[in-house]
Amino acid sequence: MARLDPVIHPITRLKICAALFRAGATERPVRHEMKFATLRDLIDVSDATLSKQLNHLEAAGYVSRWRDYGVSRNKDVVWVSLTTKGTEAYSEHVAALTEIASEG
Amino acid sequence: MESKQARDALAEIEALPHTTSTGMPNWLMALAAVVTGVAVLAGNQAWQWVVLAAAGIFLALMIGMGIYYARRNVREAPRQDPYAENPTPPWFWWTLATLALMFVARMIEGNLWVGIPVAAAATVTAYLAFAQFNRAQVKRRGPA
Repeated sequence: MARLDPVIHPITRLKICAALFRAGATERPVRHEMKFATLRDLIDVSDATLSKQLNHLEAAGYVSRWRDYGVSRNKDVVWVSLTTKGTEAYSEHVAALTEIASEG
Repeated sequence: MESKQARDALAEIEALPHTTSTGMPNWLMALAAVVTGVAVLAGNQAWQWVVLAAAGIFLALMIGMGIYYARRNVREAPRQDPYAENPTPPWFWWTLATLALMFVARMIEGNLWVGIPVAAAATVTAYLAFAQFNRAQVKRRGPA
Protein backbone atom coordinates (compact mmCIF):
# COMPACT_ATOMS: atom_id res chain seq x y z
CA MET A 1 0.00 0.00 0.00
CA ALA A 2 1.29 3.42 -0.96
CA ARG A 3 1.89 5.87 1.87
CA LEU A 4 1.28 9.57 2.23
CA ASP A 5 4.40 11.69 2.21
CA PRO A 6 4.42 14.29 5.02
CA VAL A 7 6.65 16.64 3.00
CA ILE A 8 4.30 16.72 0.01
CA HIS A 9 1.10 16.54 2.04
CA PRO A 10 0.44 20.33 2.38
CA ILE A 11 -1.71 21.28 -0.59
CA THR A 12 0.63 24.00 -1.91
CA ARG A 13 3.55 21.60 -2.03
CA LEU A 14 1.38 18.96 -3.64
CA LYS A 15 0.36 21.46 -6.31
CA ILE A 16 3.99 22.45 -6.87
CA CYS A 17 4.98 18.82 -7.44
CA ALA A 18 1.91 18.20 -9.61
CA ALA A 19 2.60 21.26 -11.80
CA LEU A 20 6.23 20.23 -12.32
CA PHE A 21 5.35 16.58 -12.90
CA ARG A 22 2.60 17.27 -15.42
CA ALA A 23 4.68 19.77 -17.37
CA GLY A 24 7.53 17.26 -17.58
CA ALA A 25 9.91 19.39 -15.52
CA THR A 26 11.55 16.29 -14.08
CA GLU A 27 14.95 14.64 -14.23
CA ARG A 28 13.89 11.67 -16.38
CA PRO A 29 14.45 10.81 -19.14
CA VAL A 30 16.25 14.12 -19.75
CA ARG A 31 16.24 16.80 -17.10
CA HIS A 32 13.77 19.56 -17.82
CA GLU A 33 13.04 22.59 -15.71
CA MET A 34 10.30 25.19 -15.33
CA LYS A 35 10.57 28.91 -14.80
CA PHE A 36 9.88 30.01 -11.22
CA ALA A 37 7.45 32.66 -12.51
CA THR A 38 5.50 30.10 -14.52
CA LEU A 39 5.21 27.80 -11.53
CA ARG A 40 4.04 30.72 -9.39
CA ASP A 41 1.34 31.60 -11.92
CA LEU A 42 0.25 27.98 -12.34
CA ILE A 43 -0.39 27.39 -8.67
CA ASP A 44 -1.46 30.97 -8.01
CA VAL A 45 0.67 31.92 -5.01
CA SER A 46 3.01 34.79 -4.19
CA ASP A 47 6.76 34.71 -4.83
CA ALA A 48 7.43 34.54 -1.09
CA THR A 49 5.03 31.65 -0.53
CA LEU A 50 6.43 29.67 -3.43
CA SER A 51 9.99 30.32 -2.34
CA LYS A 52 9.22 29.18 1.22
CA GLN A 53 7.52 25.99 0.06
CA LEU A 54 10.34 25.27 -2.37
CA ASN A 55 12.78 25.55 0.53
CA HIS A 56 10.97 22.69 2.28
CA LEU A 57 10.89 20.57 -0.86
CA GLU A 58 14.52 21.32 -1.64
CA ALA A 59 15.58 20.39 1.90
CA ALA A 60 13.91 17.02 1.39
CA GLY A 61 15.71 16.61 -1.94
CA TYR A 62 12.48 16.70 -3.94
CA VAL A 63 13.23 19.71 -6.12
CA SER A 64 16.31 21.48 -7.41
CA ARG A 65 16.62 25.15 -8.24
CA TRP A 66 19.06 26.85 -10.56
CA ARG A 67 19.61 30.51 -11.20
CA ASP A 68 20.54 31.92 -14.60
CA TYR A 69 22.31 35.16 -13.83
CA GLY A 70 21.21 38.27 -15.71
CA VAL A 71 22.76 41.68 -15.97
CA SER A 72 21.11 42.57 -12.67
CA ARG A 73 19.40 40.58 -9.94
CA ASN A 74 15.90 41.36 -11.20
CA LYS A 75 16.91 39.95 -14.58
CA ASP A 76 17.88 36.61 -13.05
CA VAL A 77 15.76 33.61 -14.01
CA VAL A 78 15.26 30.80 -11.50
CA TRP A 79 14.49 27.34 -12.89
CA VAL A 80 12.86 24.58 -10.86
CA SER A 81 12.96 20.85 -11.51
CA LEU A 82 11.42 17.85 -9.76
CA THR A 83 14.20 15.43 -8.83
CA THR A 84 13.96 11.67 -9.31
CA LYS A 85 13.40 11.30 -5.55
CA GLY A 86 10.67 13.95 -5.74
CA THR A 87 9.02 12.27 -8.72
CA GLU A 88 8.90 8.94 -6.88
CA ALA A 89 7.59 10.55 -3.70
CA TYR A 90 4.92 12.46 -5.65
CA SER A 91 3.79 9.36 -7.54
CA GLU A 92 3.53 7.38 -4.32
CA HIS A 93 1.66 10.20 -2.59
CA VAL A 94 -0.87 10.45 -5.43
CA ALA A 95 -1.28 6.65 -5.40
CA ALA A 96 -1.99 6.82 -1.65
CA LEU A 97 -4.51 9.64 -2.16
CA THR A 98 -6.22 7.64 -4.90
CA GLU A 99 -6.47 4.59 -2.63
CA ILE A 100 -7.96 6.65 0.20
CA ALA A 101 -10.36 8.42 -2.17
CA SER A 102 -11.61 5.10 -3.53
CA GLU A 103 -12.31 3.76 -0.05
CA GLY A 104 -15.04 6.32 0.62
CA MET B 1 -7.15 11.26 6.28
CA GLU B 2 -10.72 11.03 5.08
CA SER B 3 -11.63 10.01 1.57
CA LYS B 4 -13.31 13.36 0.92
CA GLN B 5 -10.09 15.21 1.76
CA ALA B 6 -8.18 12.90 -0.56
CA ARG B 7 -10.69 13.51 -3.37
CA ASP B 8 -10.43 17.27 -2.81
CA ALA B 9 -6.63 17.12 -2.98
CA LEU B 10 -6.79 15.09 -6.20
CA ALA B 11 -9.34 17.51 -7.64
CA GLU B 12 -7.03 20.43 -6.81
CA ILE B 13 -4.15 18.97 -8.77
CA GLU B 14 -6.43 17.93 -11.63
CA ALA B 15 -7.65 21.51 -11.88
CA LEU B 16 -4.14 22.87 -12.47
CA PRO B 17 -3.72 24.35 -15.94
CA HIS B 18 -1.71 22.29 -18.37
CA THR B 19 1.66 23.46 -19.53
CA THR B 20 2.97 21.37 -22.34
CA SER B 21 6.17 22.80 -23.61
CA THR B 22 9.71 21.62 -23.90
CA GLY B 23 12.85 23.56 -24.58
CA MET B 24 14.84 23.68 -27.76
CA PRO B 25 16.65 20.35 -28.07
CA ASN B 26 20.39 20.46 -27.57
CA TRP B 27 21.00 18.49 -30.78
CA LEU B 28 19.36 21.29 -32.78
CA MET B 29 21.74 23.79 -31.22
CA ALA B 30 24.67 21.50 -32.08
CA LEU B 31 23.42 21.18 -35.68
CA ALA B 32 23.27 24.96 -35.98
CA ALA B 33 26.87 25.18 -34.77
CA VAL B 34 27.98 22.57 -37.33
CA VAL B 35 26.22 24.31 -40.23
CA THR B 36 27.71 27.64 -39.21
CA GLY B 37 31.15 26.02 -38.91
CA VAL B 38 30.88 24.52 -42.42
CA ALA B 39 29.83 27.88 -43.81
CA VAL B 40 32.85 29.56 -42.21
CA LEU B 41 35.27 26.85 -43.32
CA ALA B 42 33.98 27.09 -46.90
CA GLY B 43 36.19 30.17 -47.12
CA ASN B 44 37.07 31.03 -50.71
CA GLN B 45 35.72 27.87 -52.26
CA ALA B 46 33.65 28.27 -55.41
CA TRP B 47 30.61 26.83 -53.68
CA GLN B 48 30.85 29.07 -50.63
CA TRP B 49 27.83 31.15 -51.66
CA VAL B 50 25.61 28.10 -51.78
CA VAL B 51 26.76 27.08 -48.30
CA LEU B 52 26.46 30.61 -46.97
CA ALA B 53 22.94 30.98 -48.40
CA ALA B 54 21.91 27.67 -46.84
CA ALA B 55 23.49 28.68 -43.55
CA GLY B 56 21.73 32.04 -43.70
CA ILE B 57 18.33 30.43 -44.20
CA PHE B 58 19.06 27.88 -41.49
CA LEU B 59 20.24 30.50 -39.02
CA ALA B 60 17.21 32.68 -39.72
CA LEU B 61 15.04 29.69 -38.88
CA MET B 62 17.10 29.06 -35.77
CA ILE B 63 16.67 32.64 -34.61
CA GLY B 64 12.93 32.37 -35.16
CA MET B 65 12.80 29.11 -33.26
CA GLY B 66 15.03 30.55 -30.57
CA ILE B 67 12.60 33.40 -29.98
CA TYR B 68 9.73 30.91 -30.00
CA TYR B 69 11.41 28.62 -27.48
CA ALA B 70 12.67 31.46 -25.31
CA ARG B 71 9.06 32.35 -24.63
CA ARG B 72 8.28 28.85 -23.47
CA ASN B 73 8.42 28.19 -19.81
CA VAL B 74 9.71 24.65 -19.59
CA ARG B 75 13.00 23.76 -21.19
CA GLU B 76 15.62 21.08 -21.35
CA ALA B 77 18.11 21.92 -18.62
CA PRO B 78 21.67 22.68 -19.65
CA ARG B 79 23.47 19.39 -19.02
CA GLN B 80 26.59 21.10 -17.85
CA ASP B 81 27.74 24.61 -17.34
CA PRO B 82 31.44 24.41 -18.21
CA TYR B 83 31.79 28.10 -17.51
CA ALA B 84 30.73 27.61 -13.90
CA GLU B 85 32.91 24.51 -13.48
CA ASN B 86 36.00 25.84 -15.15
CA PRO B 87 35.51 29.41 -16.25
CA THR B 88 37.60 30.68 -19.09
CA PRO B 89 39.43 33.69 -17.69
CA PRO B 90 38.22 37.04 -19.08
CA TRP B 91 41.74 37.93 -20.22
CA PHE B 92 41.53 35.09 -22.73
CA TRP B 93 38.49 36.60 -24.43
CA TRP B 94 39.90 40.10 -24.38
CA THR B 95 43.16 38.87 -25.90
CA LEU B 96 41.22 36.99 -28.55
CA ALA B 97 39.11 40.07 -29.25
CA THR B 98 42.24 42.23 -29.51
CA LEU B 99 43.88 39.83 -31.95
CA ALA B 100 40.72 39.69 -34.04
CA LEU B 101 40.48 43.46 -34.11
CA MET B 102 44.15 43.71 -35.06
CA PHE B 103 43.51 41.33 -37.92
CA VAL B 104 40.56 43.38 -39.11
CA ALA B 105 42.50 46.59 -38.73
CA ARG B 106 45.38 45.15 -40.76
CA MET B 107 42.99 44.15 -43.50
CA ILE B 108 41.59 47.65 -43.56
CA GLU B 109 44.81 49.58 -43.21
CA GLY B 110 47.18 47.13 -44.82
CA ASN B 111 49.62 47.86 -42.01
CA LEU B 112 49.79 45.93 -38.74
CA TRP B 113 51.50 48.78 -36.85
CA VAL B 114 48.73 51.15 -37.74
CA GLY B 115 46.25 48.52 -36.68
CA ILE B 116 47.62 48.01 -33.16
CA PRO B 117 46.60 51.37 -31.61
CA VAL B 118 43.26 51.19 -33.43
CA ALA B 119 42.70 47.69 -32.06
CA ALA B 120 43.81 48.69 -28.56
CA ALA B 121 41.45 51.66 -28.54
CA ALA B 122 38.61 49.49 -29.83
CA THR B 123 39.30 46.86 -27.18
CA VAL B 124 39.27 49.39 -24.34
CA THR B 125 36.08 50.94 -25.67
CA ALA B 126 34.45 47.53 -26.00
CA TYR B 127 35.54 46.58 -22.49
CA LEU B 128 34.10 49.76 -20.99
CA ALA B 129 30.89 49.36 -23.00
CA PHE B 130 30.33 45.81 -21.85
CA ALA B 131 31.59 46.16 -18.28
CA GLN B 132 28.03 46.52 -17.08
CA PHE B 133 27.27 43.00 -18.31
CA ASN B 134 30.02 41.44 -16.23
CA ARG B 135 27.61 40.04 -13.69
CA ALA B 136 26.07 37.82 -16.35
CA GLN B 137 29.41 37.05 -17.98
CA VAL B 138 31.34 36.08 -14.88
CA LYS B 139 28.71 33.79 -13.38
CA ARG B 140 26.11 32.51 -15.77
CA ARG B 141 24.39 29.78 -13.81
CA GLY B 142 24.44 28.49 -10.26
CA PRO B 143 22.27 27.04 -7.50
CA ALA B 144 19.45 29.42 -6.62
